[in-house]
Amino acid sequence: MDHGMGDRRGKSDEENLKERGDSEAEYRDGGMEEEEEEAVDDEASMNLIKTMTEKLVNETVQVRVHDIVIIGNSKTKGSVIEAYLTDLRDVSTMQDLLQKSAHANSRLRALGIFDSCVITLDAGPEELPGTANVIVEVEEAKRPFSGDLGVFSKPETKAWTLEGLVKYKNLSGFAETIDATGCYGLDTTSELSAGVTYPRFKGLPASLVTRLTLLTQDWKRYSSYRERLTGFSVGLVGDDQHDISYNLTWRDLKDPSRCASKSVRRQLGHSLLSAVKYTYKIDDRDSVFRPRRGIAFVSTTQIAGLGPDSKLLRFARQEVELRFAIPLGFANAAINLGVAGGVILPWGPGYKTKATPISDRFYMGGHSSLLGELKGPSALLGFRTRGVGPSELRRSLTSPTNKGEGEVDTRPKRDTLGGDLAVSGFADFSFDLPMRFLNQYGIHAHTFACAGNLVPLTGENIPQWSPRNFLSGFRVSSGAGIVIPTKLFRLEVNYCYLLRHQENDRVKRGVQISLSSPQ
Amino acid sequence: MESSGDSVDLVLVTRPAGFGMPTVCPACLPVYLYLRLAAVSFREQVSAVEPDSVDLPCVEYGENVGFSSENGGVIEFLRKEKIADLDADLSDSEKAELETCKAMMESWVADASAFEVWTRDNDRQCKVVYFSELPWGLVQALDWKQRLAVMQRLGITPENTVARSEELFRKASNAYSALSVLLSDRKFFFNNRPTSLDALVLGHLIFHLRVPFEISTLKGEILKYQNLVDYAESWGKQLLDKQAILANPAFRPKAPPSPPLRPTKLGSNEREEPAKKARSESDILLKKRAKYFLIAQFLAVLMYIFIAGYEVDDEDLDVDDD
Repeated sequence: MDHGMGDRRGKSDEENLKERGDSEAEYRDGGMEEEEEEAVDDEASMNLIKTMTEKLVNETVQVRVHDIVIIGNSKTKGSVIEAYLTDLRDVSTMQDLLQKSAHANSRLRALGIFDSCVITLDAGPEELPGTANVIVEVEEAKRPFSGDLGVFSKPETKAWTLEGLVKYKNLSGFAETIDATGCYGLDTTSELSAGVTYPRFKGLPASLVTRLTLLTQDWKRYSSYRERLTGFSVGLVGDDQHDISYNLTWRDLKDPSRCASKSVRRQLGHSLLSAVKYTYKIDDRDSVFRPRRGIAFVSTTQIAGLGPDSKLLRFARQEVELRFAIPLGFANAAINLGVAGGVILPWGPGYKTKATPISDRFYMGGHSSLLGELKGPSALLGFRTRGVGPSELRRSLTSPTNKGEGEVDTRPKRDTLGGDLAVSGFADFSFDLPMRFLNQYGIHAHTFACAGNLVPLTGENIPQWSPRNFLSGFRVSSGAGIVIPTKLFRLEVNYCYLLRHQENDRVKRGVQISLSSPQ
Repeated sequence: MESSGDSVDLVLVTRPAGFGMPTVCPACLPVYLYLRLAAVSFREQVSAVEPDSVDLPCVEYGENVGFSSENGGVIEFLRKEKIADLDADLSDSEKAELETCKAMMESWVADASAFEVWTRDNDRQCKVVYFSELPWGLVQALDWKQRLAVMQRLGITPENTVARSEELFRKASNAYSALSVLLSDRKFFFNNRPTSLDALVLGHLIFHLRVPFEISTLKGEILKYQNLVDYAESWGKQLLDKQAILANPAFRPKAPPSPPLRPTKLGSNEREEPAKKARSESDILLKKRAKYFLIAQFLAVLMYIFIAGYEVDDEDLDVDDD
């Protein structure tokens, strides 16, 4: 029995076999006769395929894998490819073998290091009936280099950045990817980072990711400081749900403008972060940006201060988010509900009076979409970036500044300090519009309501926290809008109405536009 | 002399303490001594994680802040805010002499002091001065970075270290000689009353006499002038020991005067506000109109792209016709 498996994704096995009969079927019976017998053989093999297909559909065909042969890998280590084929050794039926072969094929192609990958199932040795040999034929990529250059928008900071990325795959044969990224945004962010990713590290169902980063982030507009991060991280990113990483970062917060508020001035200076972060994620929604059914859950735990030195930054941070999507059965409508919460607390002697590091606190507000990636308690439409939560007056400059007639000082006079405890929630009802040409391009409408609050828990002169005060301080907004997904970006135009906000919040009433990456 | 109205804390932000001094940073110690000589009460706040900041020391007074890196530094801020002004009663010639001596301290003496602190042999003491509260990894990195910056500023390379250091110490020695002559056997430099020069000189002398550097050329130079040594040791005891401060009525700390009167500030704010209001209303309206115009243009372009422009399906039909 010979069956060839090539570049197929998402088709059923029966369809694959039928197609194989039409196109490039290979017969490896050994000692094939040519020309005049070819026509007869073609008809015979067609009949064979038909009977085989019927048998596969109707019966369970017992088979086990005798041997796995890998051909064509001159640079790639055999162990790397075998790591994706371990499932095949445990199969007991033909159907199972076909399914797992297709799965392994798609994962090998996803490595991005092969120009082609063909898995052929051959009969096992004659003395062992009911066995099959799996032959994996790969063609390694001739051009392992790839590069990317693009201009991106970050909804959180309303800034545009130019990003360039260069990748080199499979330098040492372990299917690793070495990449270098440079990112530059006017006055906001600049980043240089380089990393190595090893898929299926040491046979684990996880990739080893290491990264060196040099990042400058400008929060001058919101909180009067600019941070420079120099760091190194190493982590294991699981195929499905788990992700654990260690991060060692040197942080330097400066205020070149010298107008920060007192709380921010106390945060300026150098610090060393040595932290472990664990993320558990489940997402079985049918779509990331327009989910109509399913549940998503993510929990992130970070413990900082690991090391014998008591002068490291010490805190514990926990973030959880849960989302439901409930289909309504008409006009592609769905209700999405989400709730997210996070808390950060310092640990060690005198933790109640120690303030948490400002870079690690929670912030709320901005133009980012309520749906999309799970980012914790950060999205709250109707408020500007970092516009919600505790704030403090900036330093008053004693010398009057001379401004021209037409100039208005739009810079806010308060620094956003972020919060140690954050809770947010939203409800979103999305539906298709009645016009057919809009539905064709995925343009739909939605109405939403969201709420959130953010408070400090530790530090000097912080009022005692109480559940009642926390609940009474919730900000609430609602609105409606249109979502236009395109190939280059996802555009959301929303009209927001504020139902409840605090005195010093930076609000953005009316129309809000947000751009995010396409999906 | 207590002032009416709300009393506001004066906060002095300095680098950490060490070697028996409330702050062991050579830039912060003179400002500390200035406030002690002026008998102004203040609260101390330590900033342990900014060893390379040019803004320290700084003084916070209500919402106002005076940074060391701003024009005139902290002492000028204290003078402007009418908190303390030790140089107020000097005659013109005395002021001229004061400025000359301060220039000498801030150039010759400061450079020699920086060289001595950052020279490799005094690495251990330098780390206590600047990096006592930072984690080990950062200490190594910042120490290397700051040393490089200081040596570059002083124009010192491995080839000219000896020559350049001799020059720096010679100038410092000349400065000490001049100060010793100016001080002679008096309590302070001018009129037997403390001035900002006393704070500056005392800060430098006490620092180099008390910090036990491995190699201390400047201490050796200072010890040649007995009047400077006696001056530093006696005032050091009186001004750095909290018990001694309270016992001496001349330097017992008093609350600083209340911050500048608010009405003048409000007045200027009121005048600015109507103008700002008129400006901002028309600006907001203009911005709104501009935004709606842009949104309409953008949507029109999108509609054109999706409805009129993109015709992938037609190509497949053409192929089938063959």
